[in-house]
Amino acid sequence: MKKCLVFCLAGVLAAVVPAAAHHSFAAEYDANAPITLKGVVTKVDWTNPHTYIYIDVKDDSGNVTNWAMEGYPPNTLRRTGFTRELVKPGDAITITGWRARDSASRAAAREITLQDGRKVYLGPVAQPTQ
Amino acid sequence: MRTALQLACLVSLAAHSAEIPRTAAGKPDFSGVWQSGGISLYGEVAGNTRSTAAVSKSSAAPMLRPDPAPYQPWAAAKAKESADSLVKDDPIARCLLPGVPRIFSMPMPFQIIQGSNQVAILYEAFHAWRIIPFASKHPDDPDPLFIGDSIAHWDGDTLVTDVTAFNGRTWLDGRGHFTTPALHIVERFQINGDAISYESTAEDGGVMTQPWTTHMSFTRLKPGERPLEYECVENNQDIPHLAGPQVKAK
Repeated sequence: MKKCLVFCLAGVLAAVVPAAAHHSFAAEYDANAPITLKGVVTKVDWTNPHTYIYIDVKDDSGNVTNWAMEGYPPNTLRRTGFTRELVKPGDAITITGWRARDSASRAAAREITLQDGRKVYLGPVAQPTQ
Repeated sequence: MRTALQLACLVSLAAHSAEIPRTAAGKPDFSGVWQSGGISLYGEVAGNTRSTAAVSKSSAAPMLRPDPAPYQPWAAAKAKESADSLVKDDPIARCLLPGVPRIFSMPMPFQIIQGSNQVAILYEAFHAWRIIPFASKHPDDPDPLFIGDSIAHWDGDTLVTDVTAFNGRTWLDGRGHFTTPALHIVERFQINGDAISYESTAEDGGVMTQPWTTHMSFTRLKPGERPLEYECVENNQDIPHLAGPQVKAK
């Protein structure tokens, strides 16, 4: 029963305390500042410790801002079926995420809606306190 | 919460009904590719991925940690200071190697290769690896390391390791629990089919008032899965952005 308790309690914690692989979400991004962006992909960094998708976003006045959207590392994405050719420069996408605390054009990405309407996750859910 | 606990217990009991895989010599066989946290990675639904064995998300565990940590008052205050600043000073954010036991909590696979004289653990995270001989004593005067020096022995069906020679530059978790070179870890591994129960007891007279035991569980990944390259410094853009103006203003 003691072993059971260890497995059980650890399992319950797992549902609410995902481990960070590299840095605390909250140290860089604001879970209270969700954002949805529509734009055109300019570059994909298929790199560690994070992937980045850069998109040009045009505002109502026609001004264009290039956003950096941080995602899971490449190996994690591959294991979810998200391969390096899935998103390419020139693609028109919609992407959700949470703004960086210190940058006007940087965010932690969550969900991408691809050109064909499919939805995939690029990054984790927001972690307000870790 | 109660329902979740009951569900987790059912999963746990199912896991414990599994048989212990054994080597030809009759020892428990930990060989395989494993991961803590399932590949529910960062909260993703396990069923959305293709790598985990058919184990429920609720059986995956980053770490079970009793609170509060038995830290000396000054050390607890320092850890709290890190936590309150959203752990912007976390060593692994600088791509420094996590020590033991934290390396196991990384949401990436690791492979155990078990021989009769030694056990090797190859971690995807941070290119970490440990070669752990079955031995009764550590080398004389080992240099201090992030990952320490490990030796192993059997306690019945439990694989036990003793880890020393740490450099005092690692945290035990992601909450600012820093260490000193006095750190000494004893790990206990038990296997049940496709799950490993892991216990780590840390002693560090430099910061703690008593030993601190934490637990994790590891899930076996599907055949063919293996640790891949994770070169953390390749494109680490985060450091200048950690704990931005909104945090500093608090």
